[in-house]
Amino acid sequence: MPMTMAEKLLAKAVGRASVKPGDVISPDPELVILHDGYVETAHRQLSQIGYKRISNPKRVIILTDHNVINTSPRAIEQSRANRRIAAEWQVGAFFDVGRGGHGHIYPMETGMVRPGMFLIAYDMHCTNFGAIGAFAMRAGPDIPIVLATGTLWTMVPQTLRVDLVGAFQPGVYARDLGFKLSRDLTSGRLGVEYDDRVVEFGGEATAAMPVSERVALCNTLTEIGVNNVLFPPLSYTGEKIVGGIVSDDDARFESRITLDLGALGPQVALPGGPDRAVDIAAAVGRPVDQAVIGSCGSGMYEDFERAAALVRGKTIAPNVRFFVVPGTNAIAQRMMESGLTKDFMDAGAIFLPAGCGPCAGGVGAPLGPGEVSISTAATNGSGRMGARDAECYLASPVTVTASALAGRIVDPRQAGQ
Amino acid sequence: MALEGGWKTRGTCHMLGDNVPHDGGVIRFDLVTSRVQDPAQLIPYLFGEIDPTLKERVKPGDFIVAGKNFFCGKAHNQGMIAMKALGLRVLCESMPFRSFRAATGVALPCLINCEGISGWIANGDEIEADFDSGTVTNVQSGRSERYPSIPPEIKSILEEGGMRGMLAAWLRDHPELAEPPQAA
Repeated sequence: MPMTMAEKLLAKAVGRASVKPGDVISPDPELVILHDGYVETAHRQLSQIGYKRISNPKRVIILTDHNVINTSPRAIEQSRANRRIAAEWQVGAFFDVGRGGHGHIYPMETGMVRPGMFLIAYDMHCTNFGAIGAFAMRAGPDIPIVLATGTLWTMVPQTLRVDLVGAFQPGVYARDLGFKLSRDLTSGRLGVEYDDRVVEFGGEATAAMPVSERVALCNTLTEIGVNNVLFPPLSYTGEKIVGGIVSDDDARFESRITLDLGALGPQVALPGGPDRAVDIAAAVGRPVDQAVIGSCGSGMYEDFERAAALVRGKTIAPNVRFFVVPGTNAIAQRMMESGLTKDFMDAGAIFLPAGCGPCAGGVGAPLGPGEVSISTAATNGSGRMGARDAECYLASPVTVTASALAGRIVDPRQAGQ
Repeated sequence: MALEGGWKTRGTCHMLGDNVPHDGGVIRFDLVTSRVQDPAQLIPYLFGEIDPTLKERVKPGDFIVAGKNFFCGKAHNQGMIAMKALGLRVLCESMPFRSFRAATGVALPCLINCEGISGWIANGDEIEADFDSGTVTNVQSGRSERYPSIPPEIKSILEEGGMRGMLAAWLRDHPELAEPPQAA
């Protein structure tokens, strides 16, 4: 039976020859990932029922990316509890404060998540792993079930196939496409179902897209409620995977659309959600108080490399606080060795430790009442980065950096002219 | 084990339309973000943003009959906790899977593939719905339709009382998980 990539990955995880949309399955994960913010809750829920251990602890890993800087008594207490619970559960690996990096990037960087894998994670942005062709299922508050039983029931989703053709214009990146596609899906303009669907990218332009750009697309679409986002398998460092799991030529996609990358200009997502995208002209000129690049959707070396090229030899606008949040310690190290760190610091940027940065509720760089930020955060709902009435705009790392230099939102195609 | 209240029940229908979100629809968004889990605190605000009088009209055993995409948006569960505490059940034309899993987690029975149900059941109708077989009967008109029933794996989770009951049952079947692991 012809199958989509998602169906093949899920069939493999349940040891069956095939699955079809709507099948209820309990797939067997090769890896289970929790972040620091939910370990205590999961432990408490299981302890209250009488659990003193978890199933398959060696394939469970805990990463610290939300509260990397413990700036409150509560955060200190949480970190302490996470250390105790990691030891009590005897998990396969525990990455404490300042170790490893972001839970949606570091596992790819180290090969813990590989193309063709099925895994389960607490956090919804585990869809990042679709960038290399791995299927990570978000468990959310059902993670205690995974820890106790080793699996979690799910339903095989339908797939929306998106073929990418053409090439981005200068100044336009996958993050821009993510915002625009999110808007066109939620507004109904494309006339296809997306909710709870797997969005599978293919087409000629996909082959040339590096992992950092794929991650940006996976990350942005996740916020509108898709089930998952998948790309054809690729190694983290960009080598093609021969014989990897891809959709059959005659697989049954619920819908199929083609997008021309060349038709797209830079986008900004207005405060409220990544799908509130507008052409950048509609936001140009808005003064900003804070700019942030990094986080799970735009925290890879290539994201910073492009941004550094803009700031080199320049100075951040005096009214702007500009934060840089590398995805992992290894990325931060590489930035230091290649001189990017110096470029950013000479320009007046502030570095935060690898992890979520202020996207996790403002940690490390909160916004005050009425302040305006532009960032590469995963999302931008009210209160996401501090004060509830702060305005959070989202854009590509290049647009964010150009805006940090200018002190207001600018079109990166005009920056520096 | 049987479902609390039984699989086949009778009650009054309360109709909702398509695309009713959980957050900011079934329940106020600030109750979601504050992570309130106590039904007594949630019930006063149930359906307040759709129909402020609905909460007063529903009785234990009644059915919320919705159109397509019920509980859309993120899979939060505060409204579901309140509905479960009130003894309500859900019939709808479709529901995002993540919401169905969240509803199952709090043992709120939902029949989620009732295509066209809004066309032959009206507000206030009394129906008999068998969540085991998927058969829904309008008591007044006598019309009956059969919809896809709940998959067996999910029926057992509902019978066990949702996530907490399921985990308790799993622990009974795997008593070694109640023993601390050997020192590493």
